[in-house]
Amino acid sequence: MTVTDPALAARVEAWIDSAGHTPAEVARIAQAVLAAGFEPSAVSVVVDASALEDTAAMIASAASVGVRVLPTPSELNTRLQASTAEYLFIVRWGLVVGDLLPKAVGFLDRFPAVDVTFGDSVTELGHPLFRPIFSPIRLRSNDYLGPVVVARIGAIRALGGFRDEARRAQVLDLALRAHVGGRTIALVPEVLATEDLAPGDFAGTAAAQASVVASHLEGLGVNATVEEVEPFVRRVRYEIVGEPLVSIVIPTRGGRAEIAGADRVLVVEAIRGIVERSTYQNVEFVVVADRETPDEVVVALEDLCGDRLNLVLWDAPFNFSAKMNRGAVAARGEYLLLLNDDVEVVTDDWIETLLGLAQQDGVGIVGAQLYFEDSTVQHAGQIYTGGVAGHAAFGWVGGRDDSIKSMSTDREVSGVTAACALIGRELYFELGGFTLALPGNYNDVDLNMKVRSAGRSAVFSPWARLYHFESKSRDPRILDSDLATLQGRWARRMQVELYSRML
Amino acid sequence: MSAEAELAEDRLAFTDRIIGLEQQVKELQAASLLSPSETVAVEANLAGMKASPTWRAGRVVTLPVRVLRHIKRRVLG
Repeated sequence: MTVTDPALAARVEAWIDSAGHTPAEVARIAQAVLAAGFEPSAVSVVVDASALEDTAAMIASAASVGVRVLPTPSELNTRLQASTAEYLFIVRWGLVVGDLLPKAVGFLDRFPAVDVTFGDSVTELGHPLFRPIFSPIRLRSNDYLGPVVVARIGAIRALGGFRDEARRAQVLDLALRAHVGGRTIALVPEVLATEDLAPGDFAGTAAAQASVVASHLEGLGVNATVEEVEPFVRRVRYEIVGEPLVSIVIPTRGGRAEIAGADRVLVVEAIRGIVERSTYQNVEFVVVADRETPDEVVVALEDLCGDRLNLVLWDAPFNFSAKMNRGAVAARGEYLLLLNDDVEVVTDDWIETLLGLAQQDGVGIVGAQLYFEDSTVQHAGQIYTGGVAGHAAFGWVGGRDDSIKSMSTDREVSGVTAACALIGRELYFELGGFTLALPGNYNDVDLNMKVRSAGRSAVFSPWARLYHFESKSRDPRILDSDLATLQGRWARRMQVELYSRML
Repeated sequence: MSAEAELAEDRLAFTDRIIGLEQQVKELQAASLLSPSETVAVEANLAGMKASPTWRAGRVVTLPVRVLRHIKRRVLG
């Protein structure tokens, strides 16, 4: 083990978290760190006496590879102040790769605005574990930052160092505080470590993470409960601020289809499901109906919705975008819930789930998990790559998930389908709603890109679930002109998918 | 449909058209529109593509055409 680049080694320091590992594992991790080019004097094994069965053995293990011991939480900030390095590498588990330093330091040197970074990893067998670009909503549900997190030491000091109260979840705490403090956190889309030494839940780490998230939300003035879904995966239930009117905008022709062997009028059954199942009551139904919508359908809607029905006539040739815009104009609600007429609600609190997320700072549009009639996944966020759009996890069987729990966490995505999406009415108008240049397809992709170009995010929630009997009511053909219009506006920003990389 | 509603629809369409044109202009500008992570990912994709057998075979197949183009440029200016 030699330092091949002393100038580079002088700029970096590494802390290895020993909790959840055996002394032998920590020695291996430390050896990998040293092999990556760190000075032994700049490598510390962080020892938390409350998380270890045998502290003496861990200290001996650190000594055996010639690195120092750093007791936590008492000594972290002292060491942080004393460090002369520029970048702190926090190694939480796994074996770092040999070219860690050029990759991570090269990235931070190239992009000076980035203060904190994290990267991809691989399993012992070489399977990639791709992580999404920084996603603050997702971080509340899951610390997906992976085995190695690198931060500018100056930035950590400016944030006040590490908090003792965040013991066992200090990296998550740091990332959340860095984001709130306006610091830039970015993914290095390269492999930084192998994950053959990933510990399970230990020393109350999952509970510590939940506590850090709760404290973070409290600090932001967000009322929410943090529930454990499984170790390290949380569902954050946001309390709705006020009781805003939600306008459910549904375009329809009053068409019928056979669903599960039964003939049904799509819009009537969609709204019946909402009326009978939804727990959020302050809604209006803005139904944008074609002139040929049968009278009996209108009567059925009036019976179902009563004075909550806001029926709008559409008497022009088909144009989904224009119909939605007409509905938005007629809507009285603070929020628009854009909905296809061929859906069926699965989760009763779907509106609260979408609304709670939509009320978070920085969130622009929120989408739901949609299933086909056969219960396979139709939508879990859109993916944009090579200038075209598709759906993440398309066709997956229900219950399937990836290694970073993308199907169990609220998370930022490239976009969400307008088959079910919630957006603030004010934002919708700021963005010009759906573009009339895309009458049939990709209009939702364009809307999502407009949302994101305005500095807001698109968020997917797996906790709001509906059936979507797609293609039973819509022609799915993509016209070349649609693609040209979309790409004329956004092609360069739709080249690489970095949100849903595992799906 | 009321005049007010018609106006609101027109305003939506105009706003979208302005945003659309702004974005089209951005697409045509040389400046990168990508975040640091996206920049690195795109560069990696490009490097991967250029290292692929398909790309290399394509370079070999198109070599005569590229040589002729080069000569044409040198001769005709």
